[in-house]
Amino acid sequence: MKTKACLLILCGAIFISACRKAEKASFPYTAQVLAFAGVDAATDAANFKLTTKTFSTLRNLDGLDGDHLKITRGGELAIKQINGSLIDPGSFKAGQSPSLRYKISNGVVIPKDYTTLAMLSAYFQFDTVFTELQQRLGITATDLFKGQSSEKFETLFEPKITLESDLSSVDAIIKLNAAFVPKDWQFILFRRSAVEHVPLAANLQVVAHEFGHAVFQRYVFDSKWDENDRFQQEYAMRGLNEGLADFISYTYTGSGDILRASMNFKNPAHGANIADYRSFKKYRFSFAEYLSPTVGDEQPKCDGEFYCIGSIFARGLYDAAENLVNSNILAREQFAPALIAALPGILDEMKNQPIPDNAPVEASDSKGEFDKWVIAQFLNGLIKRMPATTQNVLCETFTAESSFGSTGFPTDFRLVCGAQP
Amino acid sequence: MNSVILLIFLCTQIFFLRFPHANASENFAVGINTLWQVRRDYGENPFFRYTPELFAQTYFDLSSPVFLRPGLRISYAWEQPEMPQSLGVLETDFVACAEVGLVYDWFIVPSFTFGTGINFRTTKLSVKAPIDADSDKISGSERLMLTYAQIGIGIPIENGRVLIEPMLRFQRLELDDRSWLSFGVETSAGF
Repeated sequence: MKTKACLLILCGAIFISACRKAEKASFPYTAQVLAFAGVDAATDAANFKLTTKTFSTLRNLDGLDGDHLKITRGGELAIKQINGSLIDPGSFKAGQSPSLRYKISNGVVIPKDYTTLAMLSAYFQFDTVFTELQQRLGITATDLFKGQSSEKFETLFEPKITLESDLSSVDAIIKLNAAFVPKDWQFILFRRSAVEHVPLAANLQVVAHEFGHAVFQRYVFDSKWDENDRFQQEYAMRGLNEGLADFISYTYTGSGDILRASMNFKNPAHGANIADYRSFKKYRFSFAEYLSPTVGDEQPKCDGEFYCIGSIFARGLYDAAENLVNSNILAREQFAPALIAALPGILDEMKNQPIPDNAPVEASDSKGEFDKWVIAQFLNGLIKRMPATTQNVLCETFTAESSFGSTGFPTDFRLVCGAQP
Repeated sequence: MNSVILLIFLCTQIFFLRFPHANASENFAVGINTLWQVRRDYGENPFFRYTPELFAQTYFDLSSPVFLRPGLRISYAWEQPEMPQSLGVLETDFVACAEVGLVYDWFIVPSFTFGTGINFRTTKLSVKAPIDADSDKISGSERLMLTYAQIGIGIPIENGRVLIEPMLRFQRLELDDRSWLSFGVETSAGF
């Protein structure tokens, strides 16, 4: 008797549970997400708001699948090498359905847990990037995906990571990073961390920066990934790649303080704030200062390796753009499109230049004399492809000793900007 | 914190009185379960969430050595997965369940239990600068139906008056598929 009563209660519970159905939402989806909310003009600090926003490119909510992006949850990624936020991948195993948990209230998707909030917010940042692509960068999605098998980036959210070498592989938990995989046209949003403030995956500054790597890959390397091409791995090229990505982030947000909202803590090695080196508008150092060795307990001017080259490049682009706008030579919204239009062809021209005899045989992974040749050839190609009205300002900016100057853009390597006849 | 709770509980077992456990027509037992839910909070890696439980059970001799073991169970989970400092969605869960199990009284005591209950969940949004929220639609509470199947291997001590039972639970929580597996060790004393 007691057994039957227990079984009846159990069956009733299962029946009631099966009857409750989840509500459905439809395109265009509106959801509570984390959104970029402007910049403090005095401090260059970014602000964010948890608010209701409508997605423009999301077609399938539960699959987080849209016109140009699909986010999968988890998956397994083997990594051969991480260069900052660029990844050289090994094997890859697809992730699973996002398994979002939400409720619908007045047509608005309300996340019920942090992971759902983070994934929806991450998608919204990419949605913003694609929606404003033409306006900000002067390019179309069709042109961006030229050469790709589909017009869609795949994005892995918090995948399982294995670090691979020739001898072994080891499972790793990587946090505090977001990355672009040029070989597979994927974005990786690594696992959240209690050290973060604004989640990296939901920060438009970070997402737009990673998107900037895709732009560099498309227009400098013509979308190709060739691990035997030394310039794909070259230290200084990685720096210039980071610099363009920072500038594209600035183009979307107006803030040059890329990291601080998410990562605002000190490097325990020397006490300097890790976000300072990437704050290219406010924190200024020259190429010569970047090369100078530190003495005793002195803090390095920049300890971010090739990121330092990136910061100098991003700052140069920013300074040149401001100068051009203030001189009424170019409207602010015209600079980024002109910059991107000038990228194709630079690499081919670099490869046609004779490489110095003392250059490393393979791509270098640390600073060295060859960086100056790489930087100079890149700037040569970029400046001559920019509109004629902008070239003098660009030359003045990048040849200034506060920028690359004669150390990073040596006159012997210049083909523009007062090149020797 | 979890280690301290476990240590205190284990020490208190020394002071349990000697009561009959199985081998009687009707017996009662109370106990505590140190349980961890394996929850899929991160993309691929699991989050192990400590969820202590209290339970009360009674035994009915169906046909010795097989006993029917209905029971009641409550638990509370407060641990949160790792989240950034400026944005979090905090969940706490209070669960009340009823269950019925079959137990085989031997030198070890295997059991199979089927249960159902309600999970009272409270969700709280947490935001800090530089994030601002123009409204809080995320915080709230809900009741979710829970069903589970559990297997255990009991180790009777003190002539069966105390039962230590490592267990594995397969569960289904309505509208939440993050956690389908839990494991733990139950310790109960009969009276």
